Amino acid sequence: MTIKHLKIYFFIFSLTILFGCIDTYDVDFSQKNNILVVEGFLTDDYQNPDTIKIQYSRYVERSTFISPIVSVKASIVALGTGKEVNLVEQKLGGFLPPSDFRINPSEKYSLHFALPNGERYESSPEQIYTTPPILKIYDKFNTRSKLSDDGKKFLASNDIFLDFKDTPKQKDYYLWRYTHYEKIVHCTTCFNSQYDLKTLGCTIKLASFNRTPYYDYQCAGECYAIIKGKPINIMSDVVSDGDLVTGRLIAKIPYHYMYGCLVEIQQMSISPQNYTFYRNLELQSQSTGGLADTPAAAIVGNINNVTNSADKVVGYFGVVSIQKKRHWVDRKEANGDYDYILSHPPVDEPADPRDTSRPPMVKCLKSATRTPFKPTDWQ
Amino acid sequence: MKIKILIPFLLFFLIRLSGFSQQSNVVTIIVKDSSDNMPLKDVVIKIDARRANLSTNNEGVHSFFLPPGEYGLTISHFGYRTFRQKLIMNNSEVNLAISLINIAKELDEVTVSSQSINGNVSRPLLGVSSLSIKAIKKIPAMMGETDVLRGLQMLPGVTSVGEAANGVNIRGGTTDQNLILLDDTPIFNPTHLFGLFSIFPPDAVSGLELYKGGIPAKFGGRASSVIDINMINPSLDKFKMTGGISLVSNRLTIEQPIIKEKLAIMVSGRASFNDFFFKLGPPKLQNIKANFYDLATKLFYKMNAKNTFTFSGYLSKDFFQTDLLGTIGNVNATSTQYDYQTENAALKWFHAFNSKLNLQTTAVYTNYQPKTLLPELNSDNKVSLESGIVYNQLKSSLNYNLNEKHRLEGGISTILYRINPGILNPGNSKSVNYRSVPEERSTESGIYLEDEFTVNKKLSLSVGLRYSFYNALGGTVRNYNPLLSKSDLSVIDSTVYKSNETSASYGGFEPRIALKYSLSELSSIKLGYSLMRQYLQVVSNTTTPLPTSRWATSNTYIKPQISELYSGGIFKNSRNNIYEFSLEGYYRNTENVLDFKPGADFLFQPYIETQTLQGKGKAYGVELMASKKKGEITGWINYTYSRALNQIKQSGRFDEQINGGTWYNTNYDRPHSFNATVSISQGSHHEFGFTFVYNTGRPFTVPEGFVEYNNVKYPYYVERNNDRIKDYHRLDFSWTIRNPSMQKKRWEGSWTFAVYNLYGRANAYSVYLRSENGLKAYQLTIFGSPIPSLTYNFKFM
Repeated sequence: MTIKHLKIYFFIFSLTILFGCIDTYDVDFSQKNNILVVEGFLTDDYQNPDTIKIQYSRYVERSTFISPIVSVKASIVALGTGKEVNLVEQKLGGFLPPSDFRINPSEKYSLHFALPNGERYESSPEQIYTTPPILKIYDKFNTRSKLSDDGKKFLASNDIFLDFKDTPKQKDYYLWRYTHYEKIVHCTTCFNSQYDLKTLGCTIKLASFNRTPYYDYQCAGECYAIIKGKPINIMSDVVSDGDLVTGRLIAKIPYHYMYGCLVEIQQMSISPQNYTFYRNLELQSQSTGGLADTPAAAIVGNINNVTNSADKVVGYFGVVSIQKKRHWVDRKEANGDYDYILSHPPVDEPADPRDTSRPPMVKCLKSATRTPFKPTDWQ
Repeated sequence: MKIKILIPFLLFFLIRLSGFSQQSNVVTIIVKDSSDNMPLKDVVIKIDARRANLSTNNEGVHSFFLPPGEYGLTISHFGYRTFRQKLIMNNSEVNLAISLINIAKELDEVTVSSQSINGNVSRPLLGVSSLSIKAIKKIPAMMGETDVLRGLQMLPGVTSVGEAANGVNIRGGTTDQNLILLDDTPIFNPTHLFGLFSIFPPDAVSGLELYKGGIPAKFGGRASSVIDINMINPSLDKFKMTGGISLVSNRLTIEQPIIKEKLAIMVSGRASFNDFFFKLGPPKLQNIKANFYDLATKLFYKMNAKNTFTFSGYLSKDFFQTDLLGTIGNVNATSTQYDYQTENAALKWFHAFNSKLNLQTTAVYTNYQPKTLLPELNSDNKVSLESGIVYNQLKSSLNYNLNEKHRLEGGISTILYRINPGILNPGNSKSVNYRSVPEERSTESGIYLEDEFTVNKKLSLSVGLRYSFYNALGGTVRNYNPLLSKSDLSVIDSTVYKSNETSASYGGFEPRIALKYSLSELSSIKLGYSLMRQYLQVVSNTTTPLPTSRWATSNTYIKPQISELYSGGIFKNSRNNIYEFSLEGYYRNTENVLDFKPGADFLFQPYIETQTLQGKGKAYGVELMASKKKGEITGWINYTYSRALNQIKQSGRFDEQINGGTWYNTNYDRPHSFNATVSISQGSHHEFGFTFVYNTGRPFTVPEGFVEYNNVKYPYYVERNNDRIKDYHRLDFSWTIRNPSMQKKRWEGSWTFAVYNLYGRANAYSVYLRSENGLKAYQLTIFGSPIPSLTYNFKFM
């Protein structure tokens, strides 16, 4: 009863505010091997298909590393017809279905892949579930939306809600993802240094600063941050089968700027196996810290090593239908302190009358987290 | 007692040696034994706490001179309770006749062993401890709340997962493997406010007996132990009133004879309504409400010399509200309210046929109802999630003292369980459906016979045999594909049973054997074996069960837990029964211990076998205990080495194993445990209490490392409970001042000042990882600083 536990976590948290405390704890980790990580949905969003990733994850000296595996052969097998479709390898261990691939709603699919070392893997059979459309998205500015990292104050955000109608008389499991687009002013922060236009990096070392040990450099032209929502947001329709579900909290968009921002929400019906996997992830990483934590367990999904059953794979494969909708957050009601997108108040390098080239503007480079192009539906 | 410290000791001697002689300032003290009135010689007399080389002669008499003034007189003698008194000299002669109390002949101050004097040595009882409420009240209380469960944790073999645990772990058992009885009625949730305080009203409780080894055959239904808590019997001859006020709660207990020597009632109430403190806290706590109350009553009717009737009633309620977190499922609620209630009642008829044979018949009713309420946004409606367990029991026992060698007890018992696993009541909500999981009904019956057989002066036995049988009634039983894990996807077909039709049944013998062999009058060795069957368990995959956790009885797939305990011990008392020593060892193996699949979800799950796993448990340990039961300084110390491990390998499938099917440490496996409790009584007005607790840190799971997944780091766990949090230790202190006015009145008050966690040790309750702001490990401490409290208690006799 996870969600009930959340309340009790809070109760204990409240008591510990009065009498106890929460401190950081130094834990030794001893990860020995690369861990095979598989993530990916086969979706019906054929214009923007999800990349199915088959990678190694390593943890060395307090950092995680993703290592792509070369020469992986991956395919999708339609179990009814036995038809096998090879996935197209992308860079960094990513795979995409062929552009003409279409999901047959009555078919079950399995992800098959083989590593260069000869190990072969298969996912459990997965089938697409109909996802109901998002009926409405709305937001509300909340000055007490979440606690700061140190737990000492509340941070404001626009809480994003949606309404949808659950499909009656069937067990449904939902997963929501969101992408938040924010128009940013500063493109780079240089700590203990200044930005160098020649090297395009923070390579001019500085020994002293006036106020803070960093400078922030404005973007040359428009630049938009692409922020993927991190919290796991899942729901079972156990209490609301066939109902109009209203006010489902999807995201908390921090009060970064006074002007508006854009949020795209994806709603998916997922399989019970996928739901269990996400639920385990959520239990072990978000719903901890209370009186009654759930015992930790390996986060193993629906991928099995057919040549070695003892091999544990982190991850899942799913076949889903995506319903998506964009929502403009105008922040008209926003007030109070900013929750800085840079995690600190911006400090521009002071202008130098002797060197009019400074402070320089930094180019907005297109990447997975940034784009110079205005997102669709940006207002 | 006022101790004057400014009178210089030397001055007293100088005055005496200088021949200061004034007959009117002569003190003559005669000291005798209170029990036989015989004079005591060589009794030490001190003036103002300084030893003055004064002692009584063969007639128990000593005379000396004292100048005018006020003095503190102390008279002490080995084996006797020290006498203290204020002495005022004002040019008059003082004669004092003092009777010192022989400690060996006074009642136990602290009872932490078998109840009768020397009973721990002389009777074939193993792993049995009695703890009187007097002893529990001497233990420094957290926030001034005398707590039976915290007192229990000072005994060897009793631990918990931490300071806010909802129950105790006894000899490697889970919290639900303890049968907690309050005047014969079972308690399903023993704590208030999610584990902070135990629910037993201290003024209504007379004491408890803990059976962790040789469990009498009259008890059944739990695999680990029995905690038998008794309420006080109301006084049949006079009105009594006791009570107290503390930071947490206010208490009042009344004993009132209704028909003198025939009928009397006891009513005890405790209420906490001090949650206005939250309003003084940070803004985020201001909307919290956290209150509880409990009410206990006992009506005793002595019809005649052969028949008595006792009615015991108990009601407990907790309410907690917070508005700062989400909700259950998709209910859009403004806050979450927890409301849970226990209703217990027992009616007992005692009939003595003659001095050797008597019959006790008891009817028991318990109703435990946890509820979660969700007030909906922009509405007066509250969605409620309700569950509960109704327990009805009828039992009868016959006690027969056949002769000096045989004490027989036999009886029968039958229990009807009705469990409501969950009802979601939407009220008038449009977003939430009514939903319920069918009621689970079952019966558990037992028949037993036990004989305490004294073979000869040295050897005695307790031989008991219980037969228990269990029937699950009605419901739908699924048939699963044996090649797959039990889940909704592996169902082949199902069978529907009528409500009174048996869908599963279990049963078996439960032998209980204990042997005592006396090595001397004051020492003995004992051996024991007992087998217990458990058909009811709490279904919770968390470190400690929550008040809202679901209970479930055995069914076709949830097999009863069967525990076998082998134990042995050496017991020794000092000659005057002031000191008791014991060394006990045990080994327990348990079949069908319950564990849970990763991510198990019981909310509205009618088929819990799809979420549970069963396996084996083993626990073993050695317990050393020494106690001093009488005198100015009383208390006990104990050390326990124990282990508790489980092995879950339901099948060869990965998701039906824990830790790959190997043995792993349970959450409550704490190998080293040391407890010390000391109570120092300074006259009749001052008492000081100290407790010290040390436990090995409990296990927790450290990930092997992290994996990056969807651009977020997640911990990667391989083995469960592969590390331990830091060791736990704590020192508590209390100072009780009784009757500060020092005048004999019917109303007598006392103040207790206590400090819990005196040196402010930040003991970790749990260590956990969170990922929202980059993956970090945190330590949660429940009480990280000293917690002082002041309590006022009173009694009116």
